[in-house]
Amino acid sequence: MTPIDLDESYSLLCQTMTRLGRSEAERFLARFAVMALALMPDRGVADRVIAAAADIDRAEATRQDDAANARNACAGLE
Amino acid sequence: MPASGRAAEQRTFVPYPFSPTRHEATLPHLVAGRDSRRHPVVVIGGGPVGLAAAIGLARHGVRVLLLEADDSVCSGSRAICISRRSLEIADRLGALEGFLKIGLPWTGGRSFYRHQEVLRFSMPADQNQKLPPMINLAQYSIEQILLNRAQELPDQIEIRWQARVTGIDVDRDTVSLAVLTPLGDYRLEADWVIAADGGRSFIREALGLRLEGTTYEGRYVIVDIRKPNRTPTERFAYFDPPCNPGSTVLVHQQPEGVWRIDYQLRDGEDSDEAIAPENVIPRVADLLEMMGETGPWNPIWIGIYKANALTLPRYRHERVLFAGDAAHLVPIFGVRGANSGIDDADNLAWKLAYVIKGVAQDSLLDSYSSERVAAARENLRYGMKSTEFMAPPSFAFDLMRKAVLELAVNHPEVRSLINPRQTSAVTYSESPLKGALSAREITGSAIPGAALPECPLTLVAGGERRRLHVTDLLTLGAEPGFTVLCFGDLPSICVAVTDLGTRMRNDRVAINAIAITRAFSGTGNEPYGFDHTDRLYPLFGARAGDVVLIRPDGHILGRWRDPSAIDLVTGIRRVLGNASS
Repeated sequence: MTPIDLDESYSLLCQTMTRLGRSEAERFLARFAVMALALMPDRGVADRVIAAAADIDRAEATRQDDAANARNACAGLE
Repeated sequence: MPASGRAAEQRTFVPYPFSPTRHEATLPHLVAGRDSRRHPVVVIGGGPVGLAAAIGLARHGVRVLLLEADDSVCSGSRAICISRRSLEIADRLGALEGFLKIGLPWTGGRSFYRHQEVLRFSMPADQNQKLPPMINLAQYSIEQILLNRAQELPDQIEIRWQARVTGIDVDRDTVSLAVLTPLGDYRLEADWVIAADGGRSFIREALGLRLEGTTYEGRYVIVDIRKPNRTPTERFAYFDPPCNPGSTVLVHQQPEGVWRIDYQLRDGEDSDEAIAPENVIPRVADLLEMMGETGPWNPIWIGIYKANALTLPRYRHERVLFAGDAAHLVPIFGVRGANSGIDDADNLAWKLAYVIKGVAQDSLLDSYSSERVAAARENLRYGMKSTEFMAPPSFAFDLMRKAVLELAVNHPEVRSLINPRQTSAVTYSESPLKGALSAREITGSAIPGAALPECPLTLVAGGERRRLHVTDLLTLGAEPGFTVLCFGDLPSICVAVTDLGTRMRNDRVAINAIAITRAFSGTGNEPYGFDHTDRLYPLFGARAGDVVLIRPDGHILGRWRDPSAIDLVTGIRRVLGNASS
């Protein structure tokens, strides 16, 4: 997938989800994930993609650290 | 309440480091309330696009009347980035020096998600280039530089300040304008009108024309502040920054210590409150603190912006030609507004000049519309993509953007989705002009419809060698016209091109031809160029015997291998609508 192709597919995915609406978003993303898994070249890629998507704890930890830093920074200015 | 919750700081507003000259209104010689002179072309609007169009026409020897409603160049924060393509155009207009002298060149930028850098991007800046990919400078400077150039051409360009067009009638042969000035009203007649009167174009409204496309709900506050510049000049984007959570913030530096800050308003924020200084200043202070910018600063100007992606479906309406924001409104993300308008002016100027001089049929102007509408649609497509990332228009775009930004921290493969998709030269791939000529066995990047690719070369002339670039060849001729590159082993142009020059002289079309050899081939009688870097021939995919024909606006019209004079003459005459002559 070239960056241009990725960009186009990303826009199509966002537009499609917008059209289906918030109430169908979860179902749409689940169906998309199943199709994407089925079309992956091998299990190794699939495992890596699942692990990357599941790394929510790390993303959440970053978010909380940032929020704490921001609170401290802003408190120091008051 | 200010973003950080702390008390609003008191900061004194300061002026821009620029004092515009105020220009008096003038009246022409009137006969019964009518300008006694009929004008070949009137440009309405003295912004970057109107000025570029006027200079372009003047360069082709056409007399231009420019009407500007205001009494000076613009104020406030508008266009701030000028692309390499626009600089190439400025070079042909004789205004490049001013841009390079004032502008801040930059080649890339950085994007952050919360505290973490998630993208470092750079624009093409290879060793073949003469000009930087982008420079930053305020629109008042852009207009002043172009105005200075226009004022160097007083025989060709007349500027009337404080002249507001309030009426327009178009018939088969004439455009009639009603003009309002502080000194009185009058009417004038013109053969052609260029409507470069901006996003709220009176001419567009008066002719009942409607822009088509998308208007986005996302709003951005634009703040200019005064503060010493830092190096290098980079563009910064902050997504969900800690002290302005949920927002997106852009930071550009401009010359003379002006910083432009754009930040996204959250849903539900009131626009009027959002631009109140007591709400803006703390947010800017928090941003600068986060960036580690601790020095003194002062606000200059605050405004609000909503992204539009709109275009007229046609830019030619009989004798009225639309250009710039009057023709299309492009989102600011990707800096395509002023740059695409300057490209409009460049495309239009030579075509209208040829029509006015009787060298071409007016059907040539239809290609202005089709080429530039296609360019606008491409610009809009990229601009919309950028907008959808910078100001997500739905829950889906917002949800997906969060995922991209989170993943980008550890997964470089998704970072290209954050790329700001900066403007680049458009290729007229579906141009009706390109279709007039055939091109065989072409490789390399110099394809018909594309802007001339850049590369250094050495010019040998009068026994002297001079290092320059391919785009410099467009201004070497005594008068602007078509440029022909003859690739070959000998430092002289081929017979077919010599013959083309002779025949086109009869048609009053200037042909500026130059031979391009692979290596130094002595100091002959004719000027020629040689490929001292060994990069020019591969870049063009050229072989000895190749001929590349370039339009006055620097786009490639056609390419041939060992053409006959008839091939070339017929090709140009078809473009000009004179195929049967």
